[in-house]
Amino acid sequence: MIIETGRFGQLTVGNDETIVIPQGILGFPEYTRFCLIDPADDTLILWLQSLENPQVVFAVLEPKVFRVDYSAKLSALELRELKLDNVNQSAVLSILTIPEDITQMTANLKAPLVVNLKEQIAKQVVLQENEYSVKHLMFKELKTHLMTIRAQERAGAAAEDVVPSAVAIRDIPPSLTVKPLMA
Amino acid sequence: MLVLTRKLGESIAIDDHIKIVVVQIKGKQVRLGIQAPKETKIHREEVYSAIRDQNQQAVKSPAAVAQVSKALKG
Repeated sequence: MIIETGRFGQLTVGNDETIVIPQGILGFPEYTRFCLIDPADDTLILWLQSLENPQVVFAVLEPKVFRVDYSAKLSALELRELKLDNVNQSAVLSILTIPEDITQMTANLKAPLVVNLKEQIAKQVVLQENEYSVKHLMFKELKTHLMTIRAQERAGAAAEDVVPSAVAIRDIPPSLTVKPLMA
Repeated sequence: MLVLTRKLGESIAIDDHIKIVVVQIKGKQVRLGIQAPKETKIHREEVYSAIRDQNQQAVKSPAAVAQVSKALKG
């Protein structure tokens, strides 16, 4: 199907690229169908775009990029809701808030989006850990990480496709970040 | 909503494994003790409103994708 987006114009999204979030993102329960758009800008940031409202789009990023020890502990109920019988088939993404001053961007570590890559369903999960903030500053860490990657890749730099496109969900590498919350 | 009246020290049982005790009453504040299996998630309601607010702000981001990549790669 062809969808309208506020940030990327018209995009083609197939079934393989669709994620269903049955309960929606907190504060937006009315939107349950999304896709992940890769703007192909080499920033590692993806955009979670609602298929139902062009204006509803969240910047998302794998939290391990700026917080190496990050883990998302899910309760048995949450694992069931996500149909996750194997936690290794999941990806974890933090929702970013990017203000006008981009250096002040923050990631929500408290409530990540956990995606079941095989079933293509996701849920915004609220973690119990008090040290995880909803507003974690991370611009500097992300920038440093990108510089490191670029330095490593400089040798084999090829001309890349720079057209934004929807990502096939099953092709996303698992995060290995989800753990069951055990008694 | 089910509404129950409890006195200091009294408790409420939810299912077999969750117990909520009124530990202290002081003016307009009530302290509750919660006994639950370790894998039960317990949050103050404010946590949810903070997350909802943050999500609302995230959607309203004024920064264009191109500006974000420029700032990160510059």
